[in-house]
Amino acid sequence: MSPPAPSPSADDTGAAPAPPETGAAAATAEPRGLSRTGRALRLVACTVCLALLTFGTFFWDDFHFPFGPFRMYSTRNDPNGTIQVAILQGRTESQDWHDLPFHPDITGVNRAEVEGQIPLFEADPDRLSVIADAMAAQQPHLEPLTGVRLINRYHLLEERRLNGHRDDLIAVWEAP
Amino acid sequence: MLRAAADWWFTPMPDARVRVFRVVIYLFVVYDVLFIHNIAANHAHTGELYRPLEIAELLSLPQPTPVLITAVQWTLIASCLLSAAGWFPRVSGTIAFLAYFEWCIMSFSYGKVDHDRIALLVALAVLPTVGRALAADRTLSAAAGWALRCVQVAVIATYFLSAFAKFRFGGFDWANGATLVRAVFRRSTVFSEWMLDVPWVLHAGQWAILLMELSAPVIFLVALRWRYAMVGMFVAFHIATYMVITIVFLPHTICLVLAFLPTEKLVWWARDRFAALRGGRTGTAPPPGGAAAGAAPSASPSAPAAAAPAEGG
Repeated sequence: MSPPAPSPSADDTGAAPAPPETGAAAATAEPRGLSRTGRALRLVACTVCLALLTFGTFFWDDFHFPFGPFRMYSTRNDPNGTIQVAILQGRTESQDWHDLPFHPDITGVNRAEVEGQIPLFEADPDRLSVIADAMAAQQPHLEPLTGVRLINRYHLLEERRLNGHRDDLIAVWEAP
Repeated sequence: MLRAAADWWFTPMPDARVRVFRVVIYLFVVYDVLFIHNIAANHAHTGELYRPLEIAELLSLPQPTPVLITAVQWTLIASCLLSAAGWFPRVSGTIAFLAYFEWCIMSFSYGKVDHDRIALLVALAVLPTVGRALAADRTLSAAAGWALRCVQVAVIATYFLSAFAKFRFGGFDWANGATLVRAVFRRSTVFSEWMLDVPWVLHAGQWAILLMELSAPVIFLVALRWRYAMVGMFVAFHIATYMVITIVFLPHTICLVLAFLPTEKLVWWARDRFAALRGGRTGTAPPPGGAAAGAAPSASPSAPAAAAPAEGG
């Protein structure tokens, strides 16, 4: 196979495009272009989107999806600070407080969703009744919850090594 | 210089790569909404936790109800299947994009936004602009080039801009923090538990991640061989992330592979081999009843390896 002869490029490196293929394919080897209007519209669209994405990275938040910042794991934990983990607990007529799983199929929410709304639960503990309702709807065979509580567990760090924990109660809901 | 920048966006790329992209990505979306990201269906029971995104408020989108969620889900599935089959790609693809966008808005309006969807959303938005694309077609087009380029930029922007999000929310000293310690502690696996006892590994990992993200745009400056190597590096990073903390940027990784790698070569090679096995017709005409009706016939069996004129990296 001989290397392609240099000619204006169809690849990303800015080199000359490869020559058309041999055989019948040569008839369709010439790249299809776009109209001037088509190019203009496309350029405007991608410029606007990139601009919004860049702006959102510096000035917006998740609330501004899809142009919010890519803030996955962007917060910094102090190597001598704490690791905060939300704990959801429930109790029933027959069972004392026990951990509930963060799972959409069971409690209707995942951990990140609850942690994202901790201030709201703290301001209005009755919102925790949603967890009990979701569990009753999705797991009707289980004993209904008579109470739900949200705890912030702080695992202590010392030079990035774990060194014990402490719990803070955020909110409690009890069935009337 | 501006002209050169504009031309870069429209570097001709194979329509066939768009076809491969469509089949894979639309089928993935179906799988995603049914099995991976069916969170929206669960939110039918947690309506009180609904906090609409800005765009939902701007567009006055209704709060998700079980009926709305089901309607969007099945509209999305139907349009994706049509698009994957290549039926009315512009119309079905546009419907698929709008439905998936609404699906994301509904899913992310409960306090948690997933950040691995941007490249996928861009892909769903731009693929319909290409129109009909056949796997056997060896034509290059600026429309395909622009669409694939948009996805490539979205993928790399995800890496690059996330570094600046780290600086914004974690400070310039983010890499010297304990973010990965937190991540591993919350989601450890058999491959990562030991790292909590050897914290310098996670510290070094944070620096490696930051350097990888900041250098991501280099992929557009290097030769194709190095471009493919960088794609491999990113894929390896995501595999490692899954092994360590069971988080996988699956839609993002799929877009990375499909937009950068010359997947059309595999299709052309397979088609040529199939044609050869079927009785010596070495690809100079499509096999009888082949799916590439109307497609440009290929050259010799070696043509796929020789031709691929536009890697389009």
